[in-house]
Amino acid sequence: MSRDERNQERREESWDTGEDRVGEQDDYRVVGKNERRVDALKLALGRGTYTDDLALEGTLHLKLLWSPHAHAHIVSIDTSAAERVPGVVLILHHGNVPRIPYTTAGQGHPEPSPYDQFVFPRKVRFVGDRVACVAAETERAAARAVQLIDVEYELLEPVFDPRRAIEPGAPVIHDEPEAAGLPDYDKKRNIAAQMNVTHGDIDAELDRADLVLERSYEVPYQHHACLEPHVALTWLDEDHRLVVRVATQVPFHSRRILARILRIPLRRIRVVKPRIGGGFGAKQEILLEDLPALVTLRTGRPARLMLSRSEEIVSSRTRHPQLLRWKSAVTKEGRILAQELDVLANTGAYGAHALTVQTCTAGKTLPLYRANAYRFLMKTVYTNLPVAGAFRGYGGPQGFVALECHMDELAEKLGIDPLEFRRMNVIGPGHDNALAQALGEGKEGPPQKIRSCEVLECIERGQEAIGWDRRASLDRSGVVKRGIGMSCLMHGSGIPGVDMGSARVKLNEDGSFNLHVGATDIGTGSDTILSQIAAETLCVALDKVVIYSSDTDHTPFDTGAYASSTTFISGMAVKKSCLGVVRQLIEAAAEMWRSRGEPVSTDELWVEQGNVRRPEGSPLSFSDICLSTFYTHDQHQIMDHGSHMSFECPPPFSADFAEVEVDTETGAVRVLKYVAAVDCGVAIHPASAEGQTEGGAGMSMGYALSEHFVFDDTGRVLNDTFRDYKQFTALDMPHFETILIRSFEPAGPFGAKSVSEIPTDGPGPTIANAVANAIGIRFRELPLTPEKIRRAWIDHRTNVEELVK
Amino acid sequence: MYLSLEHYERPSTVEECLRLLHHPDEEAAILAGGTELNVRGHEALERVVDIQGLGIDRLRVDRGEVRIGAGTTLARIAEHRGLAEPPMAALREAALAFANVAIQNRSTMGGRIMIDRPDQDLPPALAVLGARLRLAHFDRAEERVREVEIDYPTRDGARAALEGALLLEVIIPVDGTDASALRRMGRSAVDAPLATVAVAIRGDRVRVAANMQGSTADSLRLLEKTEALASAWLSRRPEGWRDEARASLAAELEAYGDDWASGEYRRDLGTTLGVRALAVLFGEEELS
Amino acid sequence: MKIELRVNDRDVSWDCEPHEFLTEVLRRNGLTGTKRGCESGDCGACAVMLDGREAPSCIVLAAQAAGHEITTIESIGSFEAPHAIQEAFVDRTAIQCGYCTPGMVIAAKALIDRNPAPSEREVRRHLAGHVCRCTGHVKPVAAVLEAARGMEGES
Repeated sequence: MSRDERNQERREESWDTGEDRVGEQDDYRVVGKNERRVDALKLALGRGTYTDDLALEGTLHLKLLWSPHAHAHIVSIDTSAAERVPGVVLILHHGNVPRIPYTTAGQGHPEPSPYDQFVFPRKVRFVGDRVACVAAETERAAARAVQLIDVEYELLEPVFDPRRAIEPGAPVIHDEPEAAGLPDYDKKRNIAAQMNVTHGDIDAELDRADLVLERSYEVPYQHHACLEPHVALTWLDEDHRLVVRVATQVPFHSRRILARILRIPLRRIRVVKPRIGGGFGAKQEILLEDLPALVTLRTGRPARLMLSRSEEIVSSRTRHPQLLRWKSAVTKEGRILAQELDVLANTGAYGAHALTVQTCTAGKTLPLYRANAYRFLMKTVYTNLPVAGAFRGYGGPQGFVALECHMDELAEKLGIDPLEFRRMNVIGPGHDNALAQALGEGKEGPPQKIRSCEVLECIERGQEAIGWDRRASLDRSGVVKRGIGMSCLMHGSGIPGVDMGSARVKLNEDGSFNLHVGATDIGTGSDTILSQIAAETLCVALDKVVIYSSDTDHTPFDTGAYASSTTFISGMAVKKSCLGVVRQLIEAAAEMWRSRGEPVSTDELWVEQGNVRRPEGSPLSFSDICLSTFYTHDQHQIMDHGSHMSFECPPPFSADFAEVEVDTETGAVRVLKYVAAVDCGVAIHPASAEGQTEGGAGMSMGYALSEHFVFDDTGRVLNDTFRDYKQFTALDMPHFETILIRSFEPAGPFGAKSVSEIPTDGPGPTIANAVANAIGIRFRELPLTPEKIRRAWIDHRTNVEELVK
Repeated sequence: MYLSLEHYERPSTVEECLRLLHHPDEEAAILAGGTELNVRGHEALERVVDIQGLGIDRLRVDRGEVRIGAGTTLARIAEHRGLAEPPMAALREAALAFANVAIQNRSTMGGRIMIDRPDQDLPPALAVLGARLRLAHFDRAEERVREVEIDYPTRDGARAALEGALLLEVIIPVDGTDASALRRMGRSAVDAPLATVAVAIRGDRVRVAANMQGSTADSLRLLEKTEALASAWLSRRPEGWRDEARASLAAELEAYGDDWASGEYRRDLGTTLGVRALAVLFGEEELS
Repeated sequence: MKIELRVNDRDVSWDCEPHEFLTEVLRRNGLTGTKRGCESGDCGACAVMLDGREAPSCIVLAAQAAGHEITTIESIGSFEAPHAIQEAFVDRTAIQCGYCTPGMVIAAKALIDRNPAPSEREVRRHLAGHVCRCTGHVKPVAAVLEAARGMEGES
């Protein structure tokens, strides 16, 4: 049987579901190859057009007045002086816009986040909350006018500490009657979301354990730092419809939510996603497009709003800070009996993603190691601080700091090598994800069984690459000490039972195809990856696929670029629609041959390199078929569409390793080498999977070592510039090695799982474990700033000296 | 964003520049590279005077002196062959340490000196190298420009001499300086320093200066007791000189805390950096 | 005010206000490859070459640029003939969202023009002012090194 026959057979087997039954990567022509990314050259040339690269005549520029107070009633707003600034056209505030409760979370309908926001609040809840918005002829005029808006505030007592926020007598942040959330919503106690889940008899397991270890961990705020700030440009088209060009990960959610809060029919709105300069979850929020949209609707003029970096840091969204308590019960042989996680999360002033980020903190971490019983306790609490939301990793980076530091601590107590301890307990193929049902997306989730899983191989290969065996013998005699640490990780691929993507494919006369997808490329490479999936399925070269993505008028629906779903969910939608087109091509070819008196059975036909072939006789090219079906015989458009939703959420796995150098005199940590061995199924575009890994890990190396928010005692962010908010730079990044470990995921397109979020989970615990290995001190609070390390070292040394005395 | 700026001037002589700076109605500011002025704190400013046309951006090394025009960029200082030798190492390190390459291409020597922010590396380097500043003042009574030369300001109140002046040139004696070094640390590879210590051997003396960053810090401090100790060690260094140096530095450095680090940590860091910088001078550690 | 300068090998005379930064004026004149990311010179998205050196156009007043020579991403390579640095960024998959890419290409060009065989350390130093949240800098550094090696071979 030839290769193409095998391919064909596989396609027929999976005609309806799109699922592959076999997976020989060597069979693929486009998938698994490092093709030139479809958008790379234009971006290298600076020709990519991002939201703000379009200038429209007569555009009004918007600037916001942000709250200077952490908690205050707005008593009055006087805009008269601001209105007199030349060029000012319109000033919006709570007194002149509709008051409709909503969430900015940008999730599917109905959102599992509380409706606790309004376009403008009457009560400000953090330094940086919206107060008013000026639209003017120039950005400068708008900025000047903002300074002249006179607001009288009645100051209220703020609360900044989530522990304090849930105490009786704490100031109530959401006392407005309209605010409403899921059934457990308890706004009187500042609780935006809570959960209490038990699986198995946890108390019995704790009782019979040889060792019960309980430790607390703390993780900070983090800024997404998309290089392109939030930006939106709106205008009315010639049909008087509202066009919203916005840097978003969720064009369809944006349209749905805008229709509701603007009170206009959804059909009157077109949301266009141009090129996006990074999202990382920040652009899942419907953060600012409502304001230019309102201005455009009221003035009839184009309107533009772009946040400054400082506004982006303070007033967009952040990673939820958490206090985590991890408790585990183990036998002396090292078998885990039970795991308990208690999370107190700070959502800041509003509750976007308050429930689901925290359920993922548990959902990604607890199932990684097999146990007889689990308990998850969680409260997400309002405070008068910046708002948390979706952030790449979505609760995982927080949870893995606790889990994977805890695993090292347990291994040390048990006297077992940390690698061996993980190998003994880690989940594997055929195992159930015990908590999947309990931790659904605001409702019960579908059950999950692990199919593809090469985590042991990840450990093996990562261990070799870092040189784990050197760990015991690293030189630690000098002032600068070396250490090696690791962690195991898992994530998910889409939200099972919820996320849906769709695609449409149509044939052109030159044998090329237009691929229209709702999926949103925000830099992840999904335009390339989806094109590769299409090219592979259609048996054409990549350049025969012309992709157009996410425009609510012109592409079918997709939930959006989040939850590590695009390759897995949208990819399968592309595959299904292409399979439909292949079937139509074969039928059209058979019809052409029949009409020429050369009857064939469609069962005998297959597609190969842009042709439909038959066992004997010349093939028909896709181009010939299109010309015939357009103009001469049985005229119709060869075209199909497909949608995909999955009840499965196959986790990618990873084993991360770091070698660090700790300067005990200054407290500075240098990451010398980082290895990520990742099982993401079949990597559709391996170099992009590496890029996701390097970028995700790089972002979390900052989380581990230098990124956090510094507040003054009024709740103001002090490090609100890139000069003071310290990310990893090209000089900080270590030597990096990504090892892609191949598995074959039957539920994914061509065996693929996700890879975008899992790399953010690793550096926090991996670096903390490496530091502990280097200097013998366990840190349970990120970031590991030089000052923290130096102080701990001085205390440690003093203790050791006292012991010696 | 400049909210009030209406006038941009680019004078071609020092006299014209000083006249513009003393504009009677509007507050005017000197604009050099712009890496500071163009970033923050200028909302109310109505007039800037750009000094790029004054021809004060020359860098010369001759007759035992380095003369660096105020408009010279940090990048040019870092690249200049004449400054690559050990005596000027502290200056070169300081220039390379500031922000990023693009900013080093714009930021000027004069700008770095005049803005008087404590989170900088250049001032301690200039202090230990014995830099002098040539300034131009506008004498209103006589309607003419006066030039004066002052020692690099290292004492409380000494910066008053810079008020209202236009910095023309920094003059650093090379003869008599054997070596210099600078040690600094930020929160990541590209950052303002949490602490900086510069040292130099000039003649038979060791100079030590520290810039203890922090919003409440004095910008610069010469550490005279440590200087005396280290100078004595030039001829003979005791075995435990590092401990002695550490103790001396800790006693002389003040603990200035701010939003990024506590005073206690910063002093501790300063002592470590100071010891390491001295070790470079004494040939016990690599230059960089 | 009117400013005379040379942009991408062409003498231009542009209108601008004294308070306007070079980024805005370039973008207004159609050169939108120069991006806005931080307004403080700390992210590199707005990088252009000013008299052959990399400069952060977001903190250079347009008026300051008068009389100087500016090179923007638009004059470095084309669809038909991309520059070796651009080729390397594409081939190395060093581009994800692409918002930082023009600035990085400018930085790399300014570096290689002065130092045709930079060390990895030098490349890292020259990219360190360029925030990139997508790539972790790994592939961009590799791309610049590869481009430099390739160009050395050519000359």
